[in-house]
Amino acid sequence: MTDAIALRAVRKTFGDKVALLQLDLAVPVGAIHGFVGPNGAGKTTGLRILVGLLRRDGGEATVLGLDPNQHALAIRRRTCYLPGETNVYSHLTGDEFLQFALSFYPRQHADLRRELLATWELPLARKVRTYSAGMKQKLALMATLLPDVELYVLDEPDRALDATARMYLRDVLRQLNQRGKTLLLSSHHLAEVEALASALTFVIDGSTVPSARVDRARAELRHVVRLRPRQPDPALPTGVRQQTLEPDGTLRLTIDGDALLWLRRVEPSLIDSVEVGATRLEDIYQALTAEVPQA
Amino acid sequence: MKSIAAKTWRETRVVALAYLVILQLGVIAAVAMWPNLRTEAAALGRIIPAKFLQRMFEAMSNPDQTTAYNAYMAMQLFFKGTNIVALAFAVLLGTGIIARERENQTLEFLLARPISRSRVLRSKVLVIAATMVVPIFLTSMSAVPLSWLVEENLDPWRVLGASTHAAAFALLFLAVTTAVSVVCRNQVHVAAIVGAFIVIQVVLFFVQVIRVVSVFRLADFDVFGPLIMGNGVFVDVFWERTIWLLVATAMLFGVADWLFRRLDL
Repeated sequence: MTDAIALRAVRKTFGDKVALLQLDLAVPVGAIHGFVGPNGAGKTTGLRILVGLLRRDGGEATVLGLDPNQHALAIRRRTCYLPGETNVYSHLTGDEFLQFALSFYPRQHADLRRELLATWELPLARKVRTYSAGMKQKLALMATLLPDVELYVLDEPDRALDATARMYLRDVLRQLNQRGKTLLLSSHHLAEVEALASALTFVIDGSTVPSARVDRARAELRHVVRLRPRQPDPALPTGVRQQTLEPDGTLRLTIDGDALLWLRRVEPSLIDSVEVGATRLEDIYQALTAEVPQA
Repeated sequence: MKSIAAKTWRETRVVALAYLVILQLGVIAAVAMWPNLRTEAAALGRIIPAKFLQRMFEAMSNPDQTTAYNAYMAMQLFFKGTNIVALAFAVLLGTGIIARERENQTLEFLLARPISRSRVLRSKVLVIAATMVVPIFLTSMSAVPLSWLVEENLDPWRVLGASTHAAAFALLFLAVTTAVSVVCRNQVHVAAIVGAFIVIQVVLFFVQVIRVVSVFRLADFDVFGPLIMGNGVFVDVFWERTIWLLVATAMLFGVADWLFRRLDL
């Protein structure tokens, strides 16, 4: 399968500040790919380089077979990009905004438009300035997802959305993928990205984390159990290597050996809920950054 | 390109209307004031200290009534009217061209559309330039029939020539503002920088010995007076001054475009 996006050793600096040191990313055509990393890791810079909004200083990049430094406009004709920290024009009505945003693309998903309008029930006749943050994000999403293009690059698409809207967005993105579209998602919500993406790329301090290191971190996190006890200081079985109490009352435990076997020995009546392994992005970052040599 | 132009018009139409109304009210007031001022121009000229202002009032108290009226209208319409109102609105409308998009966090969304940055800038600038220039011509030309109400005459061709020069001068300031708007983070910074530039130019203009270096020398009474009074020919002014204003304007828009294309978000 050919790659819709292929970045190799991409570098970008702003004056003295190195934003990207060595970014590698490969997204096959027709895939949903997750692009994850902590704030300031270089995700947004990477996405801007992909759609030709920033010029890379070094490395190689092709998007839909074209170099973004040379053919930014041609790439943007075949790509829709949702910026992470974008706003919508507050002096326009929702309808005027959509008309404006969609006027740049010759083809649109008419069926999806009807579906999104029916589900999200946006008051399109009203000025955007009266919209809530979630409504503005839905409008920006519509402006990004309705054009019929080959590649969708979405930076934090679930920002400001409630749980129901996030779940629905997942379905919409799956629908687009079933139509053969390629999607690159950047998000802080690992569970959201993992539920959709066929593969993930982690970026930390401007560099792609090698997959072997991610696997090691995930393996290490298989020893981590998060449990919410029904009462303080529950009597837990032996085998806990490290124990920390989190602000919300959850116990984070690192288990010697197999965490699932250890859990079998826990008295069920003592706990309300339990999570095992890498369910939280911050855990993975912690495990990965612990390995990163400090510059 | 059409949709960006339409959006820009939607953003500026209220300010554009206010600008047109202010310019037009200025013309009406100027014409209405003439019968009273006609008799007092000579006395006013004697008490005014600056030599270039004295020259204006001398022309306005010329025994030939038509010459006096033309001198008065040259001052009111162009030296005073467009130089103050049009420049203020050039800054007001120009500051937002790019800086407002950046300030409102809509710039990245706009630039992510499949349209080149040059076309984005061109679409916005063309609408604002038309918004700036059309009212200058409309309101100045309206002075021709309005003058009949006070039993005076203005030559429409001379007014048209002077309007062209005044429009070129206003466009120069729009170009300066656009270039600054491309690089500034917010509109206040743009207004402060261009405002400071204008204040310095005005100060230079009012100091007799260094007036020659002020950009306002390109559009003062010595340019508009002869044009309207008939002892200057627009073709000469065009090749001596207007053309350079247009060249400088084109170069500044070119710089703005170059900066915008290389801009890192």
